[in-house]
Amino acid sequence: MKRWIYILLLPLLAACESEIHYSGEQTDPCLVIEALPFAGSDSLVCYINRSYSIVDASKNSPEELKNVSIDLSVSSGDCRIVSDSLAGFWHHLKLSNPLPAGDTLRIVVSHPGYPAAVAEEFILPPFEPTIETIVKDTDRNGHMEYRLSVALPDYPYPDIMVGIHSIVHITQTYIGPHLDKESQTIIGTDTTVTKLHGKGIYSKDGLFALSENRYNTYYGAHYSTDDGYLFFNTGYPTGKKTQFTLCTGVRSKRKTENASVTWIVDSIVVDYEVRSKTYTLYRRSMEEYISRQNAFSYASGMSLEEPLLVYNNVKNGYGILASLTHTKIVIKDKE
Amino acid sequence: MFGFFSVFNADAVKNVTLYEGNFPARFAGRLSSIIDVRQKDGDAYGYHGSLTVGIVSTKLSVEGPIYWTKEDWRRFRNKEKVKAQTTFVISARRTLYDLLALPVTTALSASKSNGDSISTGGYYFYDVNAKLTHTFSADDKLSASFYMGDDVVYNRIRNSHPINPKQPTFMRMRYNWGNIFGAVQYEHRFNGRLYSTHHISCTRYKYKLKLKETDQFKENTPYPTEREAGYNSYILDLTAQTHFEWRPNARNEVHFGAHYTWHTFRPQVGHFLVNASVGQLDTTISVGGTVHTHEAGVYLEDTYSPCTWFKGNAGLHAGLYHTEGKTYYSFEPRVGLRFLPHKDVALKASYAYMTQYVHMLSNSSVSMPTDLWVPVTATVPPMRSMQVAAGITYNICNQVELSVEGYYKKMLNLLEYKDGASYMGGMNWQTQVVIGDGWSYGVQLLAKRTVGALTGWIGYTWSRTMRQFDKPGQELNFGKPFHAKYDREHDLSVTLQYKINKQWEIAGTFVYGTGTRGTLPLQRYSDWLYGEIKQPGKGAVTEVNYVSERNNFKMPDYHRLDLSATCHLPDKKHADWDHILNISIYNVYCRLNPFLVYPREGKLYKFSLLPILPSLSYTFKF
Repeated sequence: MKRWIYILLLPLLAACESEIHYSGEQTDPCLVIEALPFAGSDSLVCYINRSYSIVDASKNSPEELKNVSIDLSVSSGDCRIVSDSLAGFWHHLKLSNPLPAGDTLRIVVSHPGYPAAVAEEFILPPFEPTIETIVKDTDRNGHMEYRLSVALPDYPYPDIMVGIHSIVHITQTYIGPHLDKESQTIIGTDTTVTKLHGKGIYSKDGLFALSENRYNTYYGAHYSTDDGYLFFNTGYPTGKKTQFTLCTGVRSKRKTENASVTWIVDSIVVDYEVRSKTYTLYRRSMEEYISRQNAFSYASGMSLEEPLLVYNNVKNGYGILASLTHTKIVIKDKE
Repeated sequence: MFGFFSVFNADAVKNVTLYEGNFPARFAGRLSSIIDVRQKDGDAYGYHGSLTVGIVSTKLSVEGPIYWTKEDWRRFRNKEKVKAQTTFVISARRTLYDLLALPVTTALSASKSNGDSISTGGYYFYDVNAKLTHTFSADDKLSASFYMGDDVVYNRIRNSHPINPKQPTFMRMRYNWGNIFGAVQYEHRFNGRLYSTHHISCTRYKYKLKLKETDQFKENTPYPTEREAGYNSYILDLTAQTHFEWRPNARNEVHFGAHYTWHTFRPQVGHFLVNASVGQLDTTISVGGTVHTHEAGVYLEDTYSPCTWFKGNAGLHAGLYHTEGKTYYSFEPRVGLRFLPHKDVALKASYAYMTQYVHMLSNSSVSMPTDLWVPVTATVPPMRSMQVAAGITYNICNQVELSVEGYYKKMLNLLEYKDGASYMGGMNWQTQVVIGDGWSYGVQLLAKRTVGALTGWIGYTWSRTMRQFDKPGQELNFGKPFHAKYDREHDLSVTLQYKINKQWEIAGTFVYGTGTRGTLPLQRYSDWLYGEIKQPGKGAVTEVNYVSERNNFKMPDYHRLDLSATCHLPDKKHADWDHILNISIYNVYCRLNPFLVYPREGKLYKFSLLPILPSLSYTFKF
């Protein structure tokens, strides 16, 4: 009887694992393109690689990716690759002319074993705000601060993110007693000069987004994290004026009975970063991907998280061609 | 049990009504279609039941009268027909397949991998239905009902270590979900035109998932030798409801009533354990705590039939939902029309506005089938839907009914997990979700025959179900539309029964459905640009498991064929006894439909639960 039961049950087989031969989309490896063009630059670093199939390893070629062909063009101007210096996966492209601002850059990468990958991106023109006034003041703690009034330029490009970051370069001079290390007695006068940086920037006029900053209850304003940017809210306020306050974190001078410290602001560097929508989506998705990648998997060892999507704008391939501009304005203290 | 058994135990059920459109106003609280199940009361005159013993499952059902006086018992024993005031029904069933198949599947798994990897798994479920009914008079009846059921899926994989076979690694998974339900109902008839039903009920749903991995080879290393993650949640509902049915005249049938439910949600309790030679982490987290909510509603509907060729149903359900200091309101109009331009042709149209105060969160990863029920809160609004449907039915000689129906449904305030969210993490689920919209549309064709020797139906549905989460800060899939997890484009089911003679009956069922959707990375590449932005010149790369869009992966299509033959053998001594032999084959051509899908070592695998399953059962009915 037992034998018959098991014979009847045999067809159950190992009611468990079996391989699937998936033939849907994205089963074949493709080319990967990554580049970050800047308007006015006559060179471009282009990272070219290929992807690997996770679900069908037989499609992954073990051979090195060689003889890749790159074709570069811009919508209105004459810009082509003059030379391609290859270092590993990185193609250092020398261009015939600087990349024209306001044009659409198109890169096509071809290789016999893969479909041609195409990436297109609008090249953001430089962002040139005008700093109208700089007022030097002190905050409630007596620290030096600079209030900038900035006229925002007409920049009619949709879905951009405009951010501001600043560094205040300060020279600190300490004059005070020089102590003997062993006896701790004063044996002379010491003068020490140190270079400092102040990185705080905040705004009270409500134009800033909360994407990379915090709200400071002390100042009643949004301010940037240590090396981050303050970003404008959605909808770039073309033509408006806005005010920023740069924090130094130091007083101009401080004197005690035996010592004195002076701080002199050497220069202020104001850095504007304008990000295209592509760049913003890519960067946010990568930051999210990296921060969550191993947050839980190690603890549980199991794939229970929602998969993370990394932004991609390459057709028939993977990677990113994104546009970014940087504008740095250096202000000397005496200005 | 994946189509092998009905969700409802037929031995306990009196009738089932399905509403796919034209939802009466008395039904509320869900956006989906409605199944109205009525339990049997039990035979007031005699004892009946059935016992089924089979390879795959066993079930028992008994019903009958309860006599309270010795006189009634005496008369019953004298084989007089005595109608009892109290009746009972008890039905229970349990699958046996997992117990019997375990040694076979273990042996076969080992032989396939030369002993290096042994994978065993199984599924079982059980349920119990009980009902006690007391009829006071022709106008008054009191009943108490009980239901308990659980489904369990488990899997165990033992892998020999390539270096030291004596220190294998184990992966275990156990996943179970179930309900307990109890209700007391009182029915009263005021007169021939007015009836009322009042009930109080309590229902508890519980869900539990546990995963464990042990790796003895990693002893004396900093790496974990044991990792375990568990998760459970439950919902408890206490409901009071009153319903009236009034027929003021021959043309109108009016339903009105009210209901109140006190919900208790405990959606997130996680347990994590990591053991390593360097230390241990063992923690239980109840995130979000326990949430109590109140739901109440009133409704009024009228079915108006002024003539034979027209019937209309209109109603309104007004409700409120109070949670965490916030109250949501809903006003849900319902309209349904039916025209009979010809005695064999019916035209139907309906509109319904629905509100649902509980969300189902589904993990879009295809590696685990996990759904979590969470409440509407002060920050998570209720779902709302608007559905329009229209159709035509044609009756052929009272033998075959053909129908075509189309629908469109728009849904608002749907909930999905954010990208990267883990429902087993230590974060409140409300911070892990985003809110968006969805829409669904489709056409259903149905042909059915309920008379004659050959009966059954053929139903085909073509449909699309999409989602879009594009509100600022609530984006998924970068704001672009994507397929819903349960977007199944084609759904076909064919069920046929043929009564050969009084003794023999054969039946077959074929089902086909497009695979459901999930999110699965299919390609991997090295990203350089982000590393260059953060640390210029260092050449840092990040390995990216690329996903093109949410729910990019379509599971393999689901289909199977079941055949059965039933033989009725009347008992020679007892006319009311019946012996039934049933031979059936579930999944005749052994289609390995996927339950889980996961990549491993450059290949894609599926875990299936039920291949071909022959079954032999004997039923004794009395």
